Amino acid sequence: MTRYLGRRVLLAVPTAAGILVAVFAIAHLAPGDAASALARGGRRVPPAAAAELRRIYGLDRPLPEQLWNWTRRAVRFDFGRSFQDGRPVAERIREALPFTLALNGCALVLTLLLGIPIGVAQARRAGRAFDRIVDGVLFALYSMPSFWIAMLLLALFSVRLGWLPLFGASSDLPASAGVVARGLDRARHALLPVLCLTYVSLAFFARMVRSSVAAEIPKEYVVAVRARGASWTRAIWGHALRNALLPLLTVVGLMIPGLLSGSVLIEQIFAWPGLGRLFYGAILARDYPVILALSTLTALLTLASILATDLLYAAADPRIRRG
Amino acid sequence: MRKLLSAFVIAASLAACHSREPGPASSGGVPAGKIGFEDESSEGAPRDGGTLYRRLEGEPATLNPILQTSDYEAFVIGDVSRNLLDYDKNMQIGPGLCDRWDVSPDHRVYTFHIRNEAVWEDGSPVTSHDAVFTIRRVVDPAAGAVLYSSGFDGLEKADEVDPKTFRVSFTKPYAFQLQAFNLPILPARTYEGHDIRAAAQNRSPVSNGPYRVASWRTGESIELVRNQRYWGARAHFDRVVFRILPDPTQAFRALKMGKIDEMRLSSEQYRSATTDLDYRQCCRTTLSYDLSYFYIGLNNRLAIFSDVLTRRAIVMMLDRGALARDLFSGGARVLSGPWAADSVGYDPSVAPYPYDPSAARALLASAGWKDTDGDGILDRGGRKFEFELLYGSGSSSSRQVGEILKRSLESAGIVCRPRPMEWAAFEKRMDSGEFDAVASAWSGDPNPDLFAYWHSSQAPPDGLNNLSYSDPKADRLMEEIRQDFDPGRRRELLHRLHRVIHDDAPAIFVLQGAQKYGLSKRIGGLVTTPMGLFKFWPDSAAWWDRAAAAP
Repeated sequence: MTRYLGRRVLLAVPTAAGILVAVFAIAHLAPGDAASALARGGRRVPPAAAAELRRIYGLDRPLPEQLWNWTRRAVRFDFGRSFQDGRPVAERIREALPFTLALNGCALVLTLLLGIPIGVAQARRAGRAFDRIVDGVLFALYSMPSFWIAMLLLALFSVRLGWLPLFGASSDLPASAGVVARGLDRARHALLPVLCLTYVSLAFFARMVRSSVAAEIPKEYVVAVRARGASWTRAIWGHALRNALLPLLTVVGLMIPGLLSGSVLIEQIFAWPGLGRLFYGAILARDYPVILALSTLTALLTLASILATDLLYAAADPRIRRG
Repeated sequence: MRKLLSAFVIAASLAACHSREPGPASSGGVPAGKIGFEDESSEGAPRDGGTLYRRLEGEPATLNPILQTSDYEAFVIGDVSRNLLDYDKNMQIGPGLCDRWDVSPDHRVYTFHIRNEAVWEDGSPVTSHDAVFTIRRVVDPAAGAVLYSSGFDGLEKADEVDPKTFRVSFTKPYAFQLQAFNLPILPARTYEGHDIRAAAQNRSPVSNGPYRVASWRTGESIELVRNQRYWGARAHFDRVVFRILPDPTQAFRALKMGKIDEMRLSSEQYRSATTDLDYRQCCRTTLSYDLSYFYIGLNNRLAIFSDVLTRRAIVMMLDRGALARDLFSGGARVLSGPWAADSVGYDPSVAPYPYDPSAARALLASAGWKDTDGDGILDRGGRKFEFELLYGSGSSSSRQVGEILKRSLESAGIVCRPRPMEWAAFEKRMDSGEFDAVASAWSGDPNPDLFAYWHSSQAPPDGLNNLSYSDPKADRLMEEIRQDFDPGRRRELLHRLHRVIHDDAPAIFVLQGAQKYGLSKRIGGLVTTPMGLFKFWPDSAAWWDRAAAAP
């Protein structure tokens, strides 16, 4: 097991390095730079001033040198300062991170809590009317663009009915507002965005659960459990689902990094101050330090969750760790 | 990796749908809007109190006034920082923090007197030390004050004379030098010894204007409250809250629900507003021209655009009257020269080229364009008449005008290929002059000096004359205009320059579209100027709440 772990970790290092170089290359090879991005909206920046900006940002140095300088600092988790506002990148990320984590975390938990029962219920009735209808509904949900759904939900709940706030992560509450009032206010703001994020991943995840559980049900051990007199519920939840969990682990593992990479569209529509908007703004402004830091974090988290998934697999299945 | 790539794709497509305006629509149902200068500054009895909710389309990067680059920053900073000199509603440069200034007879030395009563929000006086400190930062290359630095080209020195007086001298006289002092200043005390690009004060600026920053919730809102120490005329609202609402559909809803009091309307929103009962109940629309205009620039360096007959033919092939009628809801003015129609440089007696495709064809023939190989495309000297028209992908008017130009030219045997590009990439191509033609908006400036943008010495890669326009007559006029200190004569020279550029047709000065703002009906005291609704003193600081309780 230790050898297996060591091998996997060692393999992750060159992968991470490769990802970083690729991210750096893509960001820098995209046409335009932080100076030309300033001219949005028709304001012309004199070439001499643009050249000065490039010098301030270190963009006048050869690319390999920029890459080296960036890597040297990045390995110490020093991501430098944002081009846009001169603040440390870490500070900007820290500011936006809780908003995105809250939104995506709720969505992930909801997806798991709803997706497993739905998928199991479907698998149990595989091929029957219930299964087909739910399948159809999930498929329809999955195909509907979330920004459109967001607009419809807003039109209903915020404009027509006036039950939920139209935008933002909080209202202008009086300073005297208590913790409960503030918490409720946050929850009301988060409800619709969470819903929009959840339904897409729910549709996807429930279908995965259904197919892996359905694949287990006809197997002999399930029949054996039934033959011993256990109920369907016990046979499925206690036995079939357990065996079906292995492939689902991979799916969940890949959903974890999504916690960090905010949804640009949803955050934009709901004016939610999260990482998605930070990233989108950074791309438009060619704010390389922010782009690189966020990409790096997402890449590392992806690697870490793949690694964790592999280890869980190995823990669960002796054939893999001896392989 | 896929995640990142898809983020780029999303960003690109978001940029593409940034301003969702519909395709060409009939003008049916759209009332002929009244566009004139509105002035409610003397109407009613303005009352104090209440909160003004304004919309920002994006998050300001900084509130350091000399580092600002975007409109979002300008709106907030405008309420917090007064300029040394300000534009008034007639686009004249006048008193701001300084109430008097003297100019030496050789027009090289400017002496400014800061108002005695001018103080920062902590009560300390605004001094000449602050002003000189700011000017030195502006010209410091390490500061990167891109919006202001070029105004101080040729600065010789800036010195304090006494605590309220400072003197700035330049190596050469320049007719529009005073406009550089439309400059906000920094409190020297809090910035001295700091890297001004990274200073923490950039998010909590020290005010010398009617409001001060009370809080900034990143990505959500910026709240301003009355600066009790403000030395000038009191602003009417007690509070100004800027809400950061990037999505235009959401913002429009917020406007109708009274969550914001003003926003720029897209053509689509403008059209729907006329029939939207909710909107008509709560809001009114104001139309105004500002100094920006829409143009299609031809790269004069290219062989296909090198002769004036060809360029004029292209201009005459675009039906701008129809564009103004059908595409630019709310009103538009066809232009004949490189300024907005209200600019001092614009000569109304120069008529725009008419839309005349047959005359244009004749011009092309006399310029030597013929379809010699019978493929339906004109050629000259073995070269086909084909070009690419670049535009920034966020702009729907560029896309529409580009398509219309393409179709118009097709019938004459010219191939025009409109091509959208993401903004930063587009700007890079434009600055380097590596394009055939571009469709873009000119943001305009009260300063009519064209030297930096049209003089032949300013061609790329080192200058902003990215069309590589070159005409010795125009060059000479631009030089003379900069050196002429008599406003009447200068105006005459500007008008002559207008005619020369019109005759050369280096670009299609397509038209000026009206800016459309939706405003809550409770807002009074509105003034529109040749610069539009904003960017003069006191713009929104003079607005007041008609619904505020009488004292």
